[in-house]
Amino acid sequence: MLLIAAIAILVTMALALARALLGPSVYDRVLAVNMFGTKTVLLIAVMAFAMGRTDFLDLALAYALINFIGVLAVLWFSHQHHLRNQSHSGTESGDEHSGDRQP
Amino acid sequence: MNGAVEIVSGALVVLGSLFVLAGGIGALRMPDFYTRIHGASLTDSLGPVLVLGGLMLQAGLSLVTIKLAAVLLFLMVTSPTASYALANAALLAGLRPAEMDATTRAGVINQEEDSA
Amino acid sequence: MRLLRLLLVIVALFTVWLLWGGLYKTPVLQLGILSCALVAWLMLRMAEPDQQKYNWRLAYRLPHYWLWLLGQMVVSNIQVLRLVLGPRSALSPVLVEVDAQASNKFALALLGNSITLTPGTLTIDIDDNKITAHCLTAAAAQSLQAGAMSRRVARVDPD
Repeated sequence: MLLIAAIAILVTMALALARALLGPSVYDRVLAVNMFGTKTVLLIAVMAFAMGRTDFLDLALAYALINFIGVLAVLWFSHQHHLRNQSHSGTESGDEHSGDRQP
Repeated sequence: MNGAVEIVSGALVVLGSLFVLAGGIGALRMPDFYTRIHGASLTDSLGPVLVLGGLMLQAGLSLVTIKLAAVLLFLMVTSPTASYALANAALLAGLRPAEMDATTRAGVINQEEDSA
Repeated sequence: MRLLRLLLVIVALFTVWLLWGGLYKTPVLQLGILSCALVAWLMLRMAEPDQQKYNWRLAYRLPHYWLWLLGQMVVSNIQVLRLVLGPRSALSPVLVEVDAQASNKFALALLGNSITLTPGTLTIDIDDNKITAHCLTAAAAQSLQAGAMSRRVARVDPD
């Protein structure tokens, strides 16, 4: 049972990675990375029970904390970047920053 | 461990992971950024509740359950906050939701009708 | 009053430390008290401008609200599950404005998070007492604007 759940969560993480690679905007990528992180928390919790090592749950909690702070940090960075570019060029819309950045 | 509890908790965990999987599919196939957040938020609401709830049932009354409850409470507080920060940052940067532009909406609807 | 709050935060943090650590030796406990005091000091520095009084009735009203929210989450999860797996033409995304009926910070945060937590509706902007939400379907937007959630939140923490 636990293994089925772990595989489903792993597939979801692969889907999130696909969305992170496809983009198209920066925000899609941040969304995908955030999703990847929260799914890691769930995967650790499920694997802790599957392997019978429930002390792994501490790692899950630490991972949840780091992921949340990380997402906020990236968003703050992109916000600052956007503000700086706006004051440089004086343009109103941020399309060139949020638009396509294909790999 | 009681056999019935084992079965119920296993069913909860699998059901939760299916919700998570559906959210992953949603995040991949939704048409624009804001609707993709809805797909991703599917993985952040009932999925973790069912998965961690099922594991709590398996752990019984112990320190492990308290830790699981802490993880669940933390996820329930932070994931909507992160979603809001993300959506608001995108909105402030000028990424408009699809329906705000009437012409693109009509275009999308025409496309749907053509393909249907 | 500030000293009392500081002490309360330290006691709460130290309880969590004891629960998590499971290692009860003197140097570890000393380290625990020190780090709890450091975190409490940082927290009070961060929360300086926010002097909202803690409402003790939340302790029993909040779990009650969570139960109701869980029910809402089940319903909306199943709806969004069908939308995600179904055809795209079923989507009709709209932006709506919701009136928050209690405008203190805690109630606004609770309402905003609850809206995001039920799939199909997503908070994208918060004003003083208005929340702009992105809805996946017109039906979800209508049930949000009917205001059941906002009334419940106002009952949990009235102004």
